[in-house]
Amino acid sequence: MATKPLTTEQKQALALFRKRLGGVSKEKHERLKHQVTLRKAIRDFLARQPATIPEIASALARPADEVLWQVMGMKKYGRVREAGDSGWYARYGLIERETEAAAGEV
Amino acid sequence: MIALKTLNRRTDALVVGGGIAGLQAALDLADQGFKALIVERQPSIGGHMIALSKVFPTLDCASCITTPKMSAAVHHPKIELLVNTEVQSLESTGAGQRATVTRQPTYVDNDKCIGCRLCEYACEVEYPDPFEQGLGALRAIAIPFANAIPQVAVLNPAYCTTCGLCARACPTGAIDYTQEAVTFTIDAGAVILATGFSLNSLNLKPQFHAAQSRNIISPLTMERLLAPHAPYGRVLRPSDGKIPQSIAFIHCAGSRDQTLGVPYCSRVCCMYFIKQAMLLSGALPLADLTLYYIDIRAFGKGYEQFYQNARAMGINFVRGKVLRIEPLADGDLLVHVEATEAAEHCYRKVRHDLVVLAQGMVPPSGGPALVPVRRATDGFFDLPEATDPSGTNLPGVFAAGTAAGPKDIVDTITDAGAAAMAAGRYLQRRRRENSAPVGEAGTRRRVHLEPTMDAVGAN
Amino acid sequence: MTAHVNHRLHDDIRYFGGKDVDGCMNCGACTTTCPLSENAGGGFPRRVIRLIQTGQSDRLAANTDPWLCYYCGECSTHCPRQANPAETMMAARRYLTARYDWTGLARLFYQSAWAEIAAICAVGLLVAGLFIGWHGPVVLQRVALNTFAPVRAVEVGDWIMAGLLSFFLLSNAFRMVRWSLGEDVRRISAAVYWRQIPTFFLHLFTQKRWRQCGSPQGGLRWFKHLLLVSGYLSMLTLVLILLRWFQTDHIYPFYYPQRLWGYYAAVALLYPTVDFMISRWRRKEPIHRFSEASDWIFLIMLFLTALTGLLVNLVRINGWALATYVIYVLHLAIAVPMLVVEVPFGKWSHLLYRPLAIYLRGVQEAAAVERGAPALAPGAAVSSS
Ligand SMILES: Cc1cc2nc3c(=O)[nH]c(=O)nc-3n(C[C@H](O)[C@H](O)[C@H](O)COP(=O)(O)OP(=O)(O)OC[C@H]3O[C@@H](n4cnc5c(N)ncnc54)[C@H](O)[C@@H]3O)c2cc1C
Ligand code: HEM
Ligand code: SF4
Ligand code: SF4
Ligand code: SF4
Repeated sequence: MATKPLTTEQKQALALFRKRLGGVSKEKHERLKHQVTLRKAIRDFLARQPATIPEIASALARPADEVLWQVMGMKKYGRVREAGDSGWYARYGLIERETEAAAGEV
Repeated sequence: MIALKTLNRRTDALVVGGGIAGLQAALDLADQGFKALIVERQPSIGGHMIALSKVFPTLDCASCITTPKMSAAVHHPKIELLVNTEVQSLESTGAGQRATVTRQPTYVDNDKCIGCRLCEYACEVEYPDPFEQGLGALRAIAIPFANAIPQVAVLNPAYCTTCGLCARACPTGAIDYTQEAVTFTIDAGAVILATGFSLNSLNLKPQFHAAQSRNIISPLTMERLLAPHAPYGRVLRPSDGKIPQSIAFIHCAGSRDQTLGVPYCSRVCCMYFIKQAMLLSGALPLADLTLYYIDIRAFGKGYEQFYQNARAMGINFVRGKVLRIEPLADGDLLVHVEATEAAEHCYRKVRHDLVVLAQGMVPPSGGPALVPVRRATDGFFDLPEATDPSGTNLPGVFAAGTAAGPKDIVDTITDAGAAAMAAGRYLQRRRRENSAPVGEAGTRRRVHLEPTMDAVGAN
Repeated sequence: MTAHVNHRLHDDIRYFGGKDVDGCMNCGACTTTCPLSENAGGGFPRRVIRLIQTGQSDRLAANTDPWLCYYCGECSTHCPRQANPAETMMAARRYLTARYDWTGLARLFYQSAWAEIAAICAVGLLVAGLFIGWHGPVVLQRVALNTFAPVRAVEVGDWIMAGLLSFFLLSNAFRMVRWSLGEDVRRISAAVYWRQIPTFFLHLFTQKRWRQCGSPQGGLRWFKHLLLVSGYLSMLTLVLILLRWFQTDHIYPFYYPQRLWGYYAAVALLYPTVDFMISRWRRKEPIHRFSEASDWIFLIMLFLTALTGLLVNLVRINGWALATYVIYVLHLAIAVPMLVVEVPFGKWSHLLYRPLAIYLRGVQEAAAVERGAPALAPGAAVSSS
């Protein structure tokens, strides 16, 4: 993705923004960290073979509704796709990506 | 869209709410030459209708018939649109109505944003997508949904970690972290209140145990599951992604119930449940679909036929109000019902994968402290005159669509047209009165109604 | 089966206290909230209301569902139309009591409080008159109750009354059995009738279903009522069977069983009746939100009976002879009319009808099993189709 460094003006604006928000709460960071680690675990698991939501959930010992939500986020933003059904459940598999640039092109 | 030059402004007609009622009223007024200003508190116009899957009884795709109205409104030379802006209060001045509004910051300069979504792709933080009733994920900066109008990004400060990735990705420098909420006033000759409705809580009846199960869902959630851009891409239940094989629809779960303070009928739930069941029988041909109802209210043109078609399709209709739902360990739900028309085994406990509750339609929460406008006992705007079905207790203030009570889309649009007509007539009468020689009272101030008279004459 | 439509039933039920029957839209929500309905076949309370709305008085008379309702009030709390189904069930019980009663007195008493009060006064005066005319010698030096009212004579009176009241109550109950079993009365084997008898006594003595009535108050209500029942059964035993031991001129020490048991019975009658009256006055609990005159009369009479009984004992122990005789007459002039009016013709008849209804349900189910049919859903007999 074509990104450019922040200008000084933008940095100042961000600092002001952060101040107005009263700083970025620990909770927000924890949420993001949780999302990143859980999705990495899901990716690692799906790298082996496509799986259903209950399968992923029991392998990672996380609640199924949470896993479903994460997988749907990954699907929306192009990391995961459906890979057929297994019983009353859909299976999900990884989309292999070459470059980061493709990320997000859904 | 008209550029925001100064913040305080005046217009002929202020339309509060950009749902289908507000859009229709604004279009009807603008087509008659009046200047209309739509104030919508969400980032996009379209209201509830843009989130629906298909609409009864025609089964037209909802977004296919809403989007043209949305873009017609936004491109109309006589319509100005303010999104992310909420009407806080309304007062009558001698010259008309003055609304005080607040615009929330979106941290994106709408004039610069080209809707390319590069910021969205750059952002890492995801949260439950409000447009998808929390089912899907949305990034902290994103275009609110696929056919949102305007197509500009919105940053949600509740989730943003201020990492700056969006600013680095935006090709036009539209990200503006310095935005703040602003309050300003709008002077209008007439006001149309099209603030719509909201649904009452799923948790009102503790015996439903909705708080304990993700598989007891709102009908709006079901609309999203069935929508063309469905959050899951297909119909799955939220607890574990199972393809549901047995779905229950509980009618009147939040209406016609004095214990909830909602004694009236919400009017649309019977029909949208029938519609949803029909759509589901296409999406899940093997699924068992059961509607638990008190009586089916299929009141509109073609609705009874729609209902009969659903029966003929093999959808189950069981007469009986459900008042107890037991969540089971595997995510299924046990629905208790007295099948009031059954000769035997009238008390039934039926297992379902997914349960949809027909929540009651109630006035929208929060926001509008539209103080001087009287509410009826049901909480919706009061329409005191039977012969003036859009007029509120304040002269020059009209109500349209579901803001005045539960309605379907057809009735909402008819109603909005009527409100626009009433507002137009009111504006013209004021104009005539004000251009008459100052005399009698002497205190009357002129209503400033910009160029519209000529336009009316020209039409 | 032909159904006779009684277009006056609806108004009739109104006189028995069922004022909100027409508010019901027959949604069935009450049935699904009722904690007792499911195990009793899922027929109530909605179907009872439906029978009233559609004027099916004969089917209503044959329906025992109202006796299976313990008035927890859950249905009324959650009824979306606030049609007070629980109170309709209460009215149906009053109606059934009147239907079972072939003399017509129950109907008269329920529909006119003045008639009930007049009847109580008449019987009371009769009792007082009997004593005034035929009492034994009045000894004033010491308390000689058995001289004033010889225990043998009182005992004879007791048994005559018990016999009469049993006759009326049992003949009413016989009608209940006939109507509710219908044609099946003869078809059901004697063994089935026999085997269900323990059920009857179980519920007569324990009222245990009451405890399933969800709310924490349910359990407490059950306990208070059980206390009342124990007090009543104690009294019955002391007066009908052990009168010679109970009505003595000898003063036993406090801990002697004769006295202890008597006090227990008095407290077990006084505490719950006072509690129920206060609760009816406050109108907070669903069961006590609505009170008909008959509800008050029953509680007041029970309370006064126990109170005067206790007073007789106290004045006797204190050696106040004349007071003892006067209060004794007063006691009987309250207790006897209460029994005469309430047991066969009033609210008290539920002591028989309730356990009998459970018994009959058991008989029907056992008979169905014997026939090899799937367990009968009792509501089916009155379904709307
Ligand atoms: C699950 C479901 C399915 C349905 N399906 C159908 C169907 O198939 N067919 C059919 O005919 N009808 C259907 N309906 C009914 C239909 O949604 C409504 O009739 C219609 O959306 C009403 O439009 P409206 O403009 O009156 O209200 P809304 O769509 O609620 O629009 C009101 C707008 O006002 C805004 N607003 C509120 N307060 C303020 C404020 N203070 N300041 C600024 N803006 C404000 C809101 O954000 C909203 O955008 C369905 C309803 C539901 C719940
Ligand atoms: C044996 C003697 C009995 C006595 C003295 C007695 C007394 C009473 C009294 C005084 C009330 C009214 C309470 C009030 O006003 O709140 C009452 C109600 C009640 N009783 Fe009893 N009872 C007896 C037996 C039974 C039995 C055997 C049952 C059940 C199997 C029963 C079940 C009920 C129920 C459910 C109520 C509340 C609902 C109603 O009023 O109908 N009772 N009883
Ligand atoms: S429309 Fe149907 S489901 Fe909705 S409140 Fe009315 S009767 Fe109930
Ligand atoms: S009494 Fe109330 S809950 Fe019961 S069926 Fe009638 S309206 Fe429904
Ligand atoms: S009062 Fe209680 S027991 Fe009686 S019908 Fe209503 S819910 Fe059932």
